[in-house]
Amino acid sequence: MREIEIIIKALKVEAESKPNERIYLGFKSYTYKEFANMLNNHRKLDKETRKLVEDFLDNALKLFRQNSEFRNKMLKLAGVK
Amino acid sequence: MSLAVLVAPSFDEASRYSYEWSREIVNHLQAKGFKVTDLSGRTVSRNEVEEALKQNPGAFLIFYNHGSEDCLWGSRTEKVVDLENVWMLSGREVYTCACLSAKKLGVKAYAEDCTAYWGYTDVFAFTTEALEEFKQFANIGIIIRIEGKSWLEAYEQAKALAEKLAEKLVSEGKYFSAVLIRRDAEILACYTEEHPPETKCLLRRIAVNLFGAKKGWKLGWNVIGSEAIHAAYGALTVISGRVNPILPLTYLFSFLFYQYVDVEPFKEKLGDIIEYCVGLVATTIAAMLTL
Repeated sequence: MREIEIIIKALKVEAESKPNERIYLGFKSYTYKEFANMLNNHRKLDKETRKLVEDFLDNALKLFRQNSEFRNKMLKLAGVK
Repeated sequence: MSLAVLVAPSFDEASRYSYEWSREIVNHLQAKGFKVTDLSGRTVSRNEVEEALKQNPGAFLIFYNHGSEDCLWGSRTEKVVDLENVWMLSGREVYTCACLSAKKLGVKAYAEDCTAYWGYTDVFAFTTEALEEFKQFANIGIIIRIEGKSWLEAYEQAKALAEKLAEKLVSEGKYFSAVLIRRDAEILACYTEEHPPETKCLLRRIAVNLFGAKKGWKLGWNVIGSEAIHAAYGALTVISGRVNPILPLTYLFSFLFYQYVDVEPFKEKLGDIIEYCVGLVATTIAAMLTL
């Protein structure tokens, strides 16, 4: 499984476990589940939202590569480790 | 006595949170002996903000709410600061917790002699599960500044705090929040005399190197660095395979156009397409004269 696929899978698990939490992005807001669903469908989104999602994934990937605790927890949540 | 104008409108869910965060700043300011003009907790009009700035010359402007590239919003429909009244920020220190405003408004404020502009170059994000951490990050810059430290120190400490908070959030299993707080730190900008805005635009870099940061950013605001020119320049470079001699003429025509035509009302309706059109027309005229 590619790194980004692991991250998306793990974040979807986190989203499932936190149905009431929300993300605020400027004027827009999403439940974690709504946002997690956009992570692997972002090519179909409007330009502005797509950029936000791509930025989020870039940053998640950076954190995955730089922070071993984050990496291990993502692997565990995704069921890889 | 030091003066501060604090604007923290509240009219939707996101702005109710940012308004709450701003209350901590009011307390800090008052504890440090600032006289605070507080326009908060409701929709705020442009007139109110302009009047408060006029009544408080040299005051800090502190703003918590929605922003766009070229403005700060007082309600869903009213811009309280934009490119038209940005001159009112001249000689002031400005602290914003708002999306995007450092991209254009902050740069223009810097060019208009704003002493310091703190803001974000992209959309500011936060989550409901880590409100305390996002509040800490959103507030740290102005708290450090009113403690008497420099903006640069505040900027470095804000970046370091975001890193620390991200680690804490990871350890607590708050992964969305950890990623987003790091991203917020990445898009944080602070423009001061010693820390001017950065640009990828070659001509702007030349202007800054030749005339210094302040004058270099003032020069031809609408022309150098505009998307129209980038588009025209990019197209010409691709077509010709080299730096094109038409470019200086394109700049000249665009410069003249922006000197005599106010494009802002058109931008409201057409967005950046108006700049591309100007670039295209200017390039066409330049090409016709050159070829």
